[in-house]
Amino acid sequence: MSIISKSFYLIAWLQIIHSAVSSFEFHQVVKHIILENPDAQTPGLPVDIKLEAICGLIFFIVGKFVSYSKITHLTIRGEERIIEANQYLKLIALNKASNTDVLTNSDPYGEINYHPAFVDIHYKRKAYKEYINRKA
Amino acid sequence: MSYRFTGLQSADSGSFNNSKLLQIHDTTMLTAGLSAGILQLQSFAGFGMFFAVYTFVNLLFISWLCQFRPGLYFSDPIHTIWVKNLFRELAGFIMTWTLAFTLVR
Amino acid sequence: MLPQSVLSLWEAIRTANEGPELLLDPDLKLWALIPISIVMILVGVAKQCIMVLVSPKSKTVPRVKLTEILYITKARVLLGNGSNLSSESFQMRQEYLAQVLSEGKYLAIKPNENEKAKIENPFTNSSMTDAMTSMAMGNLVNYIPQTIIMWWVNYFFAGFVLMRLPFPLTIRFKQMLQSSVMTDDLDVRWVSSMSWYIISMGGLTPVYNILLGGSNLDKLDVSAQQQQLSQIPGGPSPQDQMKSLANDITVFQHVSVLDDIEDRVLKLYS
Repeated sequence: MSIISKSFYLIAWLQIIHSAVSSFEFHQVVKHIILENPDAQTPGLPVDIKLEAICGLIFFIVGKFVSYSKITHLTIRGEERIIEANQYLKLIALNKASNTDVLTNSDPYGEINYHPAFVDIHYKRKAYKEYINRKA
Repeated sequence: MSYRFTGLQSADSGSFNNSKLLQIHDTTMLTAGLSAGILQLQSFAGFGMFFAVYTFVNLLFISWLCQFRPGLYFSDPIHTIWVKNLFRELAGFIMTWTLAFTLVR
Repeated sequence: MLPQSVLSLWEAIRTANEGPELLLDPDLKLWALIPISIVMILVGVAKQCIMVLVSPKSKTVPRVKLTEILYITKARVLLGNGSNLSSESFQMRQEYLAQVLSEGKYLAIKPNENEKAKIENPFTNSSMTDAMTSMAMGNLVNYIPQTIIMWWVNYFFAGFVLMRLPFPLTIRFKQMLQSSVMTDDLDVRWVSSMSWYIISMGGLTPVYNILLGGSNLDKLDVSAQQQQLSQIPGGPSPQDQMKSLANDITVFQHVSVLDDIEDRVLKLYS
């Protein structure tokens, strides 16, 4: 996705810069015409420059949209695997949004859930002591 | 103040989606301003181009990134996609439009 | 007033009166337009960096205060969603909360019997003053560069027509946009460097978003949420809130969704 969008950007910027330079040169010529003969009928901007500027813009917009790929999640705890969601944005409904948190084993409320007041500290100490004893 | 736990929305997802939308709007509308300046559009033509490109980008956003269901991703889709960023993008568009318009001449 | 200006703007747009074509020195773009733009972008980036440095590390709410707020919230939640509980468990919570709230057990600042309750001065609270200093610093960081750039543009780039706007404006804008150009009947589309400054002021927000990745916005949101947690000065004191909530809970008529649930389920599947 990234290479495609970057090549789109490259084409878009080349086209926009080229059309800008062409337009600049065209206006320089028009200025000279006006200076020599103030009553001369000045021509409008050539069609190919216009097409190039519009084309560059369209390439840029498409490149911007191509640069977004579907969301993938990497599990945090437990077995490492990649979960692919069939969407580009995140679902707004909280029950759906927390589904992905459950799938990735992520706990967005960890700072509250693991607050000392909510953790069985005696059990933790005991488990830690056992672990130390087993190591020794 | 109601504390009913129904129809809750994830603030995290909301800000994620909004930042994506804002990024798309910012980049595309600034570039649109550049091309408007290169095309030497004046007054109504320029503003017309702004609204045309804005509509085009929004329709593309709804069909491509939202997969035709913006309600799943935004709590107030029409307002968020069309109105919320309008004046910010208009100011950015006018800036790049004026810049390109002046540099090219 | 307004209709007249709207009318004249409409007239200006409709007739698209271009006026005389001026031939500007191309060096103006190189030596006035581009320097102003670059300086404005760089100042904006520097401003963002300073804002990040100045912003307070982390805002904290004292634990007693948090307990107080959470107990008030708990009572409100019970009133709102109590119907999802069975009658026994609701009654348990009702009795407990009514007792705790009316006693004021979890008030952050215990009222003194001898002393009358004073209105808390927001300036004595340390977390409040922190927030205020950071706010004042933010304002300073916002306004000082703005004034300096404005002075700089006015001083160094005054006295000439810089560019032609691609859209027409009414005559009202002449004073603002052609401030230092001494011509009476020049079309308002031809503007001085000050107007480029004004246009960029409005239009640079998306540019900063692209340059800085917009990550700073998220941080601001978090701090705004934490601000909400702390109590608004001038609102009802937490003690009064607790008292009224305790009354509400005591008189609350509880109807559980679980009443006669067996009959209803049987009826559903019969």
